[in-house]
Amino acid sequence: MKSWDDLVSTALLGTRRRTLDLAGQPAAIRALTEGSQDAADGVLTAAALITNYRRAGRLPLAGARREDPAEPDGRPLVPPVARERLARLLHANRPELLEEWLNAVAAAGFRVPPDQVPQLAERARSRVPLRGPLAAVAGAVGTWLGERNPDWAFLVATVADDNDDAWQFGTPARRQAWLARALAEDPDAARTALAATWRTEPADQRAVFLGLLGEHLTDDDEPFLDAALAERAAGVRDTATHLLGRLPEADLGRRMAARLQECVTVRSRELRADVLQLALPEADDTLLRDGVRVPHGPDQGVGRLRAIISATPLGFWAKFGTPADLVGMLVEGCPLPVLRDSWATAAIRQGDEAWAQALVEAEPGGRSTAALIGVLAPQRQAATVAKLARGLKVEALTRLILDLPQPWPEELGRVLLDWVAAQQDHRLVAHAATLIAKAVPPACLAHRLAVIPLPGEAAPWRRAVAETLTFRREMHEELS
Amino acid sequence: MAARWSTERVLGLASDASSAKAGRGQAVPAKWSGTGASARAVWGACQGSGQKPYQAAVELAGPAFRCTCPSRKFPCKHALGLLLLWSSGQVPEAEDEAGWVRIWLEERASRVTRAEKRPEAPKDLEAAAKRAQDRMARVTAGAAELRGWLTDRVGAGFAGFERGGAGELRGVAARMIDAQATGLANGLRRAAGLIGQGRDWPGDLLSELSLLYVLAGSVTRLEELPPALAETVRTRLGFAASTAQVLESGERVADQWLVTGAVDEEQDSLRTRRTWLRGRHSGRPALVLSFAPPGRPLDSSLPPGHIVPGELAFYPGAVPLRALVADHTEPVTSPIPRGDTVTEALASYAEALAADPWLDRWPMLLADLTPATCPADSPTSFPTGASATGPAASLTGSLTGPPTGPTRSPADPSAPPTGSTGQPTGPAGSTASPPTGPTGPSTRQAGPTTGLPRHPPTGRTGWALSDVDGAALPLTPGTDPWRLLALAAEHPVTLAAEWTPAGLRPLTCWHPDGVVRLD
Repeated sequence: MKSWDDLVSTALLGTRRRTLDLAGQPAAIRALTEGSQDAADGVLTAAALITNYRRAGRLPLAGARREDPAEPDGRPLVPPVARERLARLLHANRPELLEEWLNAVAAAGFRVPPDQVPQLAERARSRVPLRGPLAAVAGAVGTWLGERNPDWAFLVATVADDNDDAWQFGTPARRQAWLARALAEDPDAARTALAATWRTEPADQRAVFLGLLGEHLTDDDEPFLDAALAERAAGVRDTATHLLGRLPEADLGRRMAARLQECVTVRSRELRADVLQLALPEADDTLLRDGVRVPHGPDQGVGRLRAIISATPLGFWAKFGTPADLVGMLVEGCPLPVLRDSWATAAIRQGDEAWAQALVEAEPGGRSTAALIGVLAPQRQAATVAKLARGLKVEALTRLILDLPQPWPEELGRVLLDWVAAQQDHRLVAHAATLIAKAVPPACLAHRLAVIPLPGEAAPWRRAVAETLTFRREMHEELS
Repeated sequence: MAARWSTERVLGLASDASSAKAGRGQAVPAKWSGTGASARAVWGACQGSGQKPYQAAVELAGPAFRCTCPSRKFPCKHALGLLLLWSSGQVPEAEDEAGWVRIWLEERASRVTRAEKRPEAPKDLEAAAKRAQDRMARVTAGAAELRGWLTDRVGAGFAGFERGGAGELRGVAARMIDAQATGLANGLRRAAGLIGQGRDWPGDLLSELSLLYVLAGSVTRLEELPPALAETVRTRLGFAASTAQVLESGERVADQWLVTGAVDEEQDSLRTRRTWLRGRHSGRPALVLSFAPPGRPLDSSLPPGHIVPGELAFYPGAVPLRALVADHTEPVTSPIPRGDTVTEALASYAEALAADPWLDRWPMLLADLTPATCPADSPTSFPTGASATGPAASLTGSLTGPPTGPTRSPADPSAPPTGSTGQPTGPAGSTASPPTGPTGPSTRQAGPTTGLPRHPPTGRTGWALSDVDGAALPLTPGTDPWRLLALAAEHPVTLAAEWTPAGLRPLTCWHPDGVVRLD
């Protein structure tokens, strides 16, 4: 396009500085512009003509490369009503409901319309919890997009990788997906692959991989976890300690119990409460080997005791009394909150119901109450929360509800909705009720709160609760 | 009972995106009581934040809206929410309207008949002719001024435009508004927006301004031009034929009109909706414009993806494209339409451009497209030896008789000599070959920016769509390609788009599971 480029550079410089070389113009243009009196007129006239020729003569792109199509995805699209619901969810900006919707779609074996995937992927960029469920429901189209848009690489993770290439050369997300799948389908191969590359993995990846391993934990994983206790990265050590705590027969527990044996005595007293006497453990190098690193300072001994109690199997305490006895004793030699915290950590790791129940009853407003309630069986969770709702102040209860581990069992959801229904209008109740309406499991969504029509003068939060419950119920119904 | 509208059609009534969002928020059965839908209207009471519920009603013919809420938006979120409920089948049908609705409908009907009875003021034909003459004189003066200014600027060079050039162009545009030459003013504003945009802005600017130069030069020669081309020039200058004239004497075409797509734009507190149609039997393209001030609904009777059987009345011109809907029946959903190949679509554009050199948007309906990536440079070509006897030539040169179309349509596949590689050969006989290898950093966007189209990975500069023959067209740089790519990733799709010098602007996409509006 030399003739066009000539015109553009002439117009840029100006015809007073540069004369257009007409010889470089096609004959047809020359014939039309030769009669022109004014150089600028000639340039403008020729430019209009060539612009038209260029536009009319546009050819398809030379050398365009067609992309490979996405793999076929045999799953049906979500029904039209659910599609409309998705549009409302995207407009309403309620990420927690969107996450629930995506999970429900994945569970029902549907996929989302392809044209909605980019918008959802943009949401998932900033909200990590959406990524997993989105990758599942976006399917092959998601993979196709993720391979072509680096911002959405997390969508690629769902590909069923038949070979180990994903493990050897994949992105972190893809390697995690491979390991998660392999741990479920071919546990031995997965563990071999993990052990082979362990030394070369970055610390944050190791922690993530251990977490994945934790979902398929067996007694045979003990040596591997034991070795991880000596890691430099705190995150890896903590995960390993945590996982070993879930193995009741693990050697680490035995070693910790032996250390604790030196520190615990119970003094019985006539007619008065027994005293639990604790001695602070001395520093020794074996603790380092077991993943206990306490920063230097005046409370080092307390820190060591905390780590040891947290990692000791709770069965150790049976010889001193029942959990209820022990939490009722007077404590000497260690601050009471530290002891209770350490017990709570152990109870949560080991999933010990009796201890969890005893600790909640000893200190209902405690820091770990919510996590401890999560350890209980569904019926007992509901009964415990019902009891707390009668005793605790609204502020404390609201905080507790915020922290209760989800998903909630059906019984717990019902208890909380009953509590909401019985409350007077109050700012904090409104706040708690909003949380409850979002978090109760699908089986509770037909609660009377959602069904009984509200009088015109009802407080707005009650209407909002009814709307959320109804919205979620419809959402699940149209996907079932 | 009236046939229920689709959700898309209801949302098309919203005066802006936030209204649509608010309307969805109101489409909750729990908020409504006393709802009903008859053949004429939909109504109900919505519990807002106040004690008293708002009463909302919609007359479906029209449509017209009424709500007791204080919102100044039209339609308000309650009316939209009510229609959304109705469209999802959650409003019970009723034989008769509620009392308050009937009263409102009757009031409206009586107002309409009063308006119809009002005698029309006798048109003072002489005064009108005088006004038209005056305006023409002003436009002629404005056009002469613009031509003088343009030759002066080309004499001095565009290079200085990067600093303050846009402001200067807008200043000239304002003078063209004073001269009542709206077409020239709009072109200058468009040109002002090109300065400094992209690598090729000087070329884009020269294209835009040179076409304006020719348009301004045509004002004095309207009498010599063929009638159809003269009409085109008048329209481009801003002298549109009146609605009454078009309905009375415009060319009538009855067909099953497929609504291929719609684009909404807002500028100078005026909202415009461009709706593209295509006759299923005649194959003719048509463009229906609808205007509204902000906060008022645009015409929603032509929903994209539907077929509207009816008759159009076309505005006069060398390429009759703009039309009015003279009468039409209810829209029905359309099956996947039959699209063209890329080559066919380019040829029809070239033919139209040969008749109307200012045509900068052309509707395309393309079949079986799949995603493709374009190389770093998209070569354009123009055939050598095509004699310049198209209208552009007749407008610029001295006229030596009635112009005939180009002897050879420039996009005629046989016209551009192509090498064995299928690449066009430039006029100088050099083979234009796209540069290979990674592109320089200048064309790559830095950093992830949410919501903006991103370039594909290194070595590829943009997205395109390819038909089954492997002929591909690029998307405009301003398009976020991802929704369309996601649809076309699985199966080839049929796409309605606007073709512009910058590439394709996608509007509507048909895929095996349905139809999606993309804009």
